Amino acid sequence: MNSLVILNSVIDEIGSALLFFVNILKTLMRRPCSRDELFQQIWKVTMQSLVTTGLAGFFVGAIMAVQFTLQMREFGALGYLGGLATSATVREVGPLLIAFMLAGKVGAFTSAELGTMRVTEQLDAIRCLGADPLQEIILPRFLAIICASFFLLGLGLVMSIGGGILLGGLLAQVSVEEYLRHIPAIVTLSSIANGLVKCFIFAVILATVCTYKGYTTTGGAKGVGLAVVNTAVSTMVGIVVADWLTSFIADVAIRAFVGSPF
Amino acid sequence: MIKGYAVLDFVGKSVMDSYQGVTQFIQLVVDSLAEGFRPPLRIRETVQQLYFIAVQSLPIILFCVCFAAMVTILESSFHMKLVIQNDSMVPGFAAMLILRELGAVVTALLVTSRVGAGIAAEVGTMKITEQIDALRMLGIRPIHYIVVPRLIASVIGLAILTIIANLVCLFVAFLVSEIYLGFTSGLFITGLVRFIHFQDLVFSIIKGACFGFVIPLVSCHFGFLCASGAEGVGLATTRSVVASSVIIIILDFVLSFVFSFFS
Amino acid sequence: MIQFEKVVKRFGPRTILKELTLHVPAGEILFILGTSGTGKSVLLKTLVGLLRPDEGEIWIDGQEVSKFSEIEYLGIRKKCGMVFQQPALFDSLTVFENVAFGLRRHYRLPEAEIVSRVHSSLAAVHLPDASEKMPGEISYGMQKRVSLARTLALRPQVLLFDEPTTGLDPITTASVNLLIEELSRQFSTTSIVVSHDMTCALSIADRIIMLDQGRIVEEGSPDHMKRSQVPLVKEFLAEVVT
Repeated sequence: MNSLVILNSVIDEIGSALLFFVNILKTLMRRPCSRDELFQQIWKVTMQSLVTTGLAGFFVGAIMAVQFTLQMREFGALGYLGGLATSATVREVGPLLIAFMLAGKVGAFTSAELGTMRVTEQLDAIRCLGADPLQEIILPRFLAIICASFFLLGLGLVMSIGGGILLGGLLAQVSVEEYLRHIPAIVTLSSIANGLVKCFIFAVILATVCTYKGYTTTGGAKGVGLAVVNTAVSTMVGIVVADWLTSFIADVAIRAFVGSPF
Repeated sequence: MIKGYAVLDFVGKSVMDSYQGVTQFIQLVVDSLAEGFRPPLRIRETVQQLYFIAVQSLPIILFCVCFAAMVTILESSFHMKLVIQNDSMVPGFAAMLILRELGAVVTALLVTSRVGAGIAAEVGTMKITEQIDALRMLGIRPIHYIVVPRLIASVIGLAILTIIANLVCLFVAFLVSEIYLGFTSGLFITGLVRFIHFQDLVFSIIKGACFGFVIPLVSCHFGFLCASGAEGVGLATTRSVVASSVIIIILDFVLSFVFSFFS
Repeated sequence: MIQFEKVVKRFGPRTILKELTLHVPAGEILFILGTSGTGKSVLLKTLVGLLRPDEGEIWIDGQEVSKFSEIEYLGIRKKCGMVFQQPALFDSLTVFENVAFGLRRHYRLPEAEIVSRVHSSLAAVHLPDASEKMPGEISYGMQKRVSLARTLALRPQVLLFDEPTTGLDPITTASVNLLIEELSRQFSTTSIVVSHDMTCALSIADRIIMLDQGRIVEEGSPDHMKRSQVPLVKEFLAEVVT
């Protein structure tokens, strides 16, 4: 009984989040937000997360290099280290980790900001002044998160290649040229497309969840804290599921059309 | 010229701020360790926290880790075929990745966003509603009362969660490789035995415990510094999630690097 | 009983308390009035060591306490009970456990003694029946009174009130003010009340101090205050309901 109630409320939440998403899309079609506001938000989101994603990217690259070194040693195929680590980062780990980091940073920040606006009745004030909070407040943040996550993904990838090169040199004595040489061969266009699609889907999930949770906050300081926690958790769950779905669909599609995953 | 000064000013201020933050954090770590060994041991509170940190996080962690395991094995298969034209090693490799990185890190990141954020929000709310001052007025040391039970519970909890996550992850990887990729169970187990050693599990548990040490300390640090108002609590929560996540990734790298010399 | 000697407290570049000197004899009810942000709450928090002064000395009961360590301060805090601006009840505990909290940790009392002390404290604030409720289930005014009971349970010699009536409706304000006077006389404690409620100060204070920007601008008995020529005091007097 109890688990049924929980399941029911989870489905309820997902449903209202989807409706909220549709509302945002409708607003986007009918009344786009001001361009200045949008650029300002993109700038804000990007600058806020620059250091975090850069750091995370660097160390993720380093971790991948350490792990792949250990594996490739078995085969004496250390030359492929750079290509493999980069490919894994582009296809999978990069988008996933950037999304996780953004969920903690931008997602939590946005829901805290919107939640504070909600509990201090600023959102109601906007409505009373005859403006649409969806258009004025939510939409620019929503679009900004999606745009910024592509910039940040790029930064994260560059930093992770940097981290990989450093550790590859340190641990496996793979020189920079050696490390970079195999990247073009292994990281194919389809891999890059795969990474970009994932990045886009994760960003949409993140942007929807954090604006939705912030917009529907209730209950003072405690409520804001709760909204932030819920945002981070639900975003991560959503991202992991979406990650599996995209990987799985890509795999099935490739098998269906090409025969084997190359 | 003036712009140059402004930049210098900004950099100087951020350096000073982060320096102050780091010294305060170290102070908190030292204090918590000292208080941790002081009686009374608050066992009931610790067990309650353990329930909140470990038991209540379990479903969400298992859910995420299962999906992560499926993705890992699909991706390993893709890369193996690409490089060595042969995917017979996939189960072993995937299992190794799961045990060395995925299990501990994914668990820790999820716990950060759920428990770490929760602790920061709770402590922040206590701070702005003057509950922490009230504790001190009643002669209770806030670190002993608030931080220590969470710290102990989190270290134990994450170590246990990491073991469970790893085992479940391996099991899911096994299922996927058998059902979807067509490996026989014999092949999977041969791969496991060849690539995985008992020490990998031990390292993974050490990683989990280290992450468990970081999460509550960072959260309490930002909770104690919380400024008043709804905005303050949100900010403290956000900061603690970000700081813990970054520290976890850096720590993971350091530990992986150190452990790589033992294998 | 309590003495401030040239106490200075700074927050970054701002100086909140400027060489403040203050004497409070035992048994007195002292009101400290002033506009928001003049350092009234800071003054109380420096007294009990929640904040530390940058310069100057603080004497409590013949001891200079401003350099005390956190552990040494515990003894002082048992003597001084503070009622916060917000109720600051621990939300995870029942009203009973909130009031018993300090007793359980400081004194090895038998359970029966704790129960009787908690009930007498709750009775003193006219809340005899609320003991099994959670803080979230009772009204804000009741939370405020429970917080007062929690402080009383330790039988403090000094009672400190940080804006006890801010944000309360007039009726609850009146009842809280009445309680302050009643309890101070009944337990013969020294009481310091930080407030901006001149009406209440005039009716129950032994002495009133007017604080402005970290300095004392006027002090004296309620009658003295009524005749004061200091502009700030006159402004406060203009608000008094007669």
